[in-house]
Amino acid sequence: MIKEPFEEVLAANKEPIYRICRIYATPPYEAEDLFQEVTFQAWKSYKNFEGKSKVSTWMYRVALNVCLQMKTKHDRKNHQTITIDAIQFSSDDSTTEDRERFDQLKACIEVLPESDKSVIVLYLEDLPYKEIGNVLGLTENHVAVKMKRIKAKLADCMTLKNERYD
Amino acid sequence: MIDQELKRIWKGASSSERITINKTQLLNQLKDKMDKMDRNIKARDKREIYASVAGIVAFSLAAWDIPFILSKIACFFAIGWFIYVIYRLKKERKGEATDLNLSFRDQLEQRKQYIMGQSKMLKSVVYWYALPPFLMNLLLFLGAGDPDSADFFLSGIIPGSLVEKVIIVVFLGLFYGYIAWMNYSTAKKNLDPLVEQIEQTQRELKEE
Repeated sequence: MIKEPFEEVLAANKEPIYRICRIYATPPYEAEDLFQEVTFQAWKSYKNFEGKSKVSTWMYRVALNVCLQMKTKHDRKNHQTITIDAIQFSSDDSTTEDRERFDQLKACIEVLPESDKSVIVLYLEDLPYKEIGNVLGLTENHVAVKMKRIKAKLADCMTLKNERYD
Repeated sequence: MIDQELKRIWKGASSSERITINKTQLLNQLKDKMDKMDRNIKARDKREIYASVAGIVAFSLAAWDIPFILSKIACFFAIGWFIYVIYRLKKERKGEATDLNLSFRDQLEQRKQYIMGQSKMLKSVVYWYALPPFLMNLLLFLGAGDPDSADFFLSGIIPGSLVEKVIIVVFLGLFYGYIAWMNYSTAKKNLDPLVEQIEQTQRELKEE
């Protein structure tokens, strides 16, 4: 199997990975810290990628697993993350509607149980149920049932937030 | 409708964030980070081995030099204990490496097993890290006769009277007790809640 160079894979998936990191970022870690940690861990594991799934799906799997690891570090206060100067972040300071709407969505996702969170972020990245199942270790049917419930919860939460916003 | 709207909001956030990757520097920097981490791990391992070797040499000399049989036995136990601690720490660290290619569900299980292992190790510190050196010291000090009766390597630090010996043993008991309590409390306070959190996520993942 001919593998794409890692830097190309990262460049192609940087935005979805960053979005996932934003959801899982909790103090003391920022989304940027998680993104760099995911990059480092994904680079270390890339040699083991066997091409059984799409490389983007593999990247999501690594991102979720690294975010889980970081969340369950018992010495979080003392743990320093990797800093890679080759990756630079800049944000647009203007308050756009998109940003505000995303913050609402983020707030709704954050209150979901951990397992639902992992399902919904993959769904929002347009992964089919089968691939979500592969990443999470669930059957396609199981994902479908879960999704129905999660979508309802999310819709309620977003409606509530929209009412307040309007 | 809600599906498309949620996806639009989700993906729309990226327009306000810019991530620039310098592809030519990236791989070199990742390799540098990896090398630095490897060097740090090797340096830590070396420090532990040197400290252990120093302890082994010191207690070997003491065992050879000290004229009291019980104290000699304590020195041999100390040598064995130094070797065991190094083995134990290395063994526990090996479990930390996780396979990121696993599914989220398997990763949860692997992570849980690792944290449970760490918790078990910390809770059992009293048996393998605190009690053995305490008993060795007990044997070393109480087993030693009058240090003025012979000229040996440890004669300067072995207390002569029984009262002095009891005071030092009580002090050591408190010291090792504190170490054991601190480790146990870290496991209860920091690790056990993490295990519960993972188990909760595992239960939720199973639910439909």
